[in-house]
Amino acid sequence: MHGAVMVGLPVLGAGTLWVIGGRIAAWIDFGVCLLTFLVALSLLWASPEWAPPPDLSIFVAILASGLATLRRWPHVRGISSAGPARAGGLIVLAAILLAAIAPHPLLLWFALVFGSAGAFFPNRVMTAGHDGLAGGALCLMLFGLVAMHVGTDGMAITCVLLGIAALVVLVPDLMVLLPLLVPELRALADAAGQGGLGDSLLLAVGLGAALACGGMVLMRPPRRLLAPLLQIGQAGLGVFAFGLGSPEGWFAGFMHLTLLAIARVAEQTAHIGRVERVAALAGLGGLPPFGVWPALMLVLAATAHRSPWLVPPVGLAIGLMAWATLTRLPRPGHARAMIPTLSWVPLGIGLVLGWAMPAPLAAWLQALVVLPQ
Amino acid sequence: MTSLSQGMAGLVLVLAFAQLCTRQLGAVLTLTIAQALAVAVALAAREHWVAAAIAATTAAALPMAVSRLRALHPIPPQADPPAGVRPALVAAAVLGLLAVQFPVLGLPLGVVLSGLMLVATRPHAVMRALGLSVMQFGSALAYGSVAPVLLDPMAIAATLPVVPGLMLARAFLPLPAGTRRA
Repeated sequence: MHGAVMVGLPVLGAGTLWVIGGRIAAWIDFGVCLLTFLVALSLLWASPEWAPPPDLSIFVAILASGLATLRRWPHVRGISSAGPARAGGLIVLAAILLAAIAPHPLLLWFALVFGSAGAFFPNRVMTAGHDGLAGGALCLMLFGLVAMHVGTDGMAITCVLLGIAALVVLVPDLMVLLPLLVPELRALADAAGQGGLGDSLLLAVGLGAALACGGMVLMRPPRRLLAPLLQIGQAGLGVFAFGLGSPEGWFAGFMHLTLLAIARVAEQTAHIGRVERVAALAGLGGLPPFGVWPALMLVLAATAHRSPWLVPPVGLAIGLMAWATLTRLPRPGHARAMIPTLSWVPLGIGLVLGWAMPAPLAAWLQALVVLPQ
Repeated sequence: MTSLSQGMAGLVLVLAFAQLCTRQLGAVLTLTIAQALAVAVALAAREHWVAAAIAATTAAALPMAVSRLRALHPIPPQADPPAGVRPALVAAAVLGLLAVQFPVLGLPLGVVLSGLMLVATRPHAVMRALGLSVMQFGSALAYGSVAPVLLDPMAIAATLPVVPGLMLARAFLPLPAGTRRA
């Protein structure tokens, strides 16, 4: 019931926004996200024992709807976007929530299809190339699921992982699903007796993405590409940590992907030329104190514990991204830059989660990611 | 009927290579229709009747959708890949050779990878939608290699052209202010 309401609210909101434009649309957009967040939050105490259940899908739903609410606030405060783009954003949110609570991989695939459609439908320019590649990633993933159904597991898992990786790169909004998708994929590989192959694939794809993005960031790409490249590279490190196949690695990967999603929203909500944008960019690049730095240390510790020979390439990827970020950080532009804004909320949440997490919350998060035996 | 099914899978792969050789939208469309019919025969040979019916319907719906799209928007009849057709063809040949090494799903994987090449190398949106259809055919052929299950949701997902359909459907919607269609 809660799940239907949670998914239905953004869908209804998207339908409304398709026909309503102007300033009120921004408020409707924000209100729908806030309501969805409250419904997701209520799932924590919906059980008869009044205790948060160790359910990863609830965590992802809360994270996705909470971050979506934060991202909408600047729009309410005056940054306008077209009605269809807002409707597309809500469809993406609905797809993320549906994927989070999907009981079957096929339903998850359909959720990702609608998430991609929500991301690309509002931009109906027919020559934009990313939509075709996102469709290709979805078809590759579908082929993997069908192959898994037939029983050829190694090829199937490879296709599903490559499809998910490409899709997440092309539709960055879906990256918030990674803390859920990666353990699910690993569980599928384990159920098929291919847990070792799943781990190797996660290690290879994750480390490859991190090193490639580190190299690209070092080659001084246009400034608008800096944050997306850092996001993909850091997500690669999170995926890599899951591939270590140890409880420490899984927790490190989970925390890394969570802090990454929070840091990215902080970067997106901050205005250009403000100090919080500089802090968020530094956090995305792996520089302390904000952002993913605490989780990076967890990843390094888990790597040193499990596979010490992998520490040099991981350290290289971390160092590349951190150094490139340090050399390309913008300076705050004007005197008002020090006035606190809402962007400090995700930065603060990330700071608390990374450096001073309350014990009950830490225990709940550790219960969420359980390595399949 | 396994030999007929496998023969059709091989035909779909050959047609996928032929698609990569041509620049004409009409020729690629005709080849895609032929592929859809071959997939329908392959599925029917393995008694996947629902999936075969969906594939046959796709073969009928594709030309109607594209001709309607042509009536709505000026679509150029020819779309040159930026790097020419040869690199895509060579890449697809190498990937296809690697794919057929897999014992069970080699041919369907080859079809999927050829479709991916079409999607990745063609700048035209309709071409990309047809490439996605080819990838979908690969999934349908992969499903066709298992024993029949009545009303299996996986069969519906494998054959129903959801992704290419969404891509084509997008072009039919009215444009919001400030955007342009190529």
